[in-house]
Amino acid sequence: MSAAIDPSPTDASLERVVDAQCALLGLELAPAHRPGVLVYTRLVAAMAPLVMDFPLSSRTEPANVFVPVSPARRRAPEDTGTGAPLADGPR
Amino acid sequence: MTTTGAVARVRSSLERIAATDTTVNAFTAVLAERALARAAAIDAAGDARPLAGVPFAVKNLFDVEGLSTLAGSKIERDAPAATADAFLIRRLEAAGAVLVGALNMDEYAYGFTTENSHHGPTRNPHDPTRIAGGSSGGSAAAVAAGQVPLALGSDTNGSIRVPASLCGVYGLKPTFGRLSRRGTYPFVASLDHLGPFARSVGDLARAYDALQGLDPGDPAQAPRAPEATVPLLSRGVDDLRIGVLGGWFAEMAQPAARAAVDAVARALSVDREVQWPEVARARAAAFIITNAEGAALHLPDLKRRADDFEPLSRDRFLAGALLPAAWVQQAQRLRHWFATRVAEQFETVDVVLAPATPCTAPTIGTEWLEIGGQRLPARASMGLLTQPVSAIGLPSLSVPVWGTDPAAPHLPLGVQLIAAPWREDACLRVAHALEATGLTRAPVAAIGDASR
Repeated sequence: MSAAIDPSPTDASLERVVDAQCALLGLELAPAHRPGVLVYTRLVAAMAPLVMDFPLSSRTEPANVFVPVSPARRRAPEDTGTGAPLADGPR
Repeated sequence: MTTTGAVARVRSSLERIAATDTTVNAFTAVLAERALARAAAIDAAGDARPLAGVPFAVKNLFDVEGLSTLAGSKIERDAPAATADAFLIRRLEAAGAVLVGALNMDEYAYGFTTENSHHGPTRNPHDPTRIAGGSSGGSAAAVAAGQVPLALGSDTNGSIRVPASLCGVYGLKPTFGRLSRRGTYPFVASLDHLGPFARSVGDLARAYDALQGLDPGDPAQAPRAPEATVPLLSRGVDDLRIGVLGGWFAEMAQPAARAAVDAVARALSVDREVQWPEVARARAAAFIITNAEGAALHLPDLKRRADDFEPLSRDRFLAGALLPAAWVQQAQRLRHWFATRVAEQFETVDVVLAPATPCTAPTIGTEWLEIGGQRLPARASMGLLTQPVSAIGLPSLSVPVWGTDPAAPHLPLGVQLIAAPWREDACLRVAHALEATGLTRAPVAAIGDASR
């Protein structure tokens, strides 16, 4: 279950993480945006254990699967817009 | 959809837009000249294609030739105009439908309310003090308001099913990879789907059948031939095993949402409960993937011009840029685990029922909701019940049920009909049977617009 969040950012360690990540990314956080960023960082940090604490086999595949790009695929033809079902293209 | 001429239908649509959109605020662009010219050509040809002369509109993340693809943003107003229509627009126009405009949405699709600060909120046609839902709020509202009989939207975590639920129309999120996404502004490539809205199941199925088609230009589309659903609609549901999703899907729903599911279950004589494992974890996985992928996509603009982003989602985007990579990768592996467990369940059931939203449409500006005994941020929580379903790409059709909220008896609430991958036909057949009982319906909203 997702936890209710406390909208007042007071957690110093969370602030340190936000500052460090911003520095790494070269993202300059405006003072007006900081409180909201801390709220949402706390929200997602509260969800992260649901994902990270669940034991998965090292053989569990990720959901995203790469599709190789062949030269034929790179030159994929445009739909002709005739209203007829489109022909199978190279995949 | 009626059978009068294309020009007459397009004119009627344009007149309804002019009369109601000051109230609804669904449209960001109306293409009267283009639509009337194409309609005239259809009438001149004596066209008999399945959607000949049917006006439709699209969420403004679809490319429309000659328009900048806004994706609900201020930033993209500077983008060059699209040089071609999106693949799905061309599919519908190839079947004879006529594009009449582009529709409002949450900025970059990151929201469930269409409270768009740049263009103004889209208002619920059945109660303009309330949200239309989102992020495809303009799409659902335009259909509910009778501005168009058909619209297209996108759904990453619920953005078709949530506004369909709150606006009282039918909305179909097909299987992940079923429809080409070419020519649309992405949000989360791992999770983005496109699909149609309509006021009848027949129209929804006709649109879905027209939208199918292989596009070698979309690497995320599955290599699967089109499968027509219209001929299957009247088969009935006697051979379909149907259950009600329990656990998370009951706990994270207000009584009005549970009552809507109960009504559908009664109409279908369903008393079987189905439990999916670890739904809260699957929802968390979808949240993390969305937050991280969406933020990474916009990182250059978040660095350069954060103040130009939608204030209601800007800070969520910024936070998403900061997530540890391990969370995201573990979330992708958890998704696969969850999809496998749910697939086992679909060996003994064909369609499962769940609410599409935890509640009926909240008032515009609502910040917090009480759901499942918790006080939760309203804008992020409207997708609690749709997110675990799109996380694993299942087809899901939201059907509108009315009058289950005693505090707002004039409002609809959607029930998701969810099937195994590629079984859109099962969702549509159940929806067709429910529509025939009169329990689900999508009436045009009576809008008290001053200009009418």
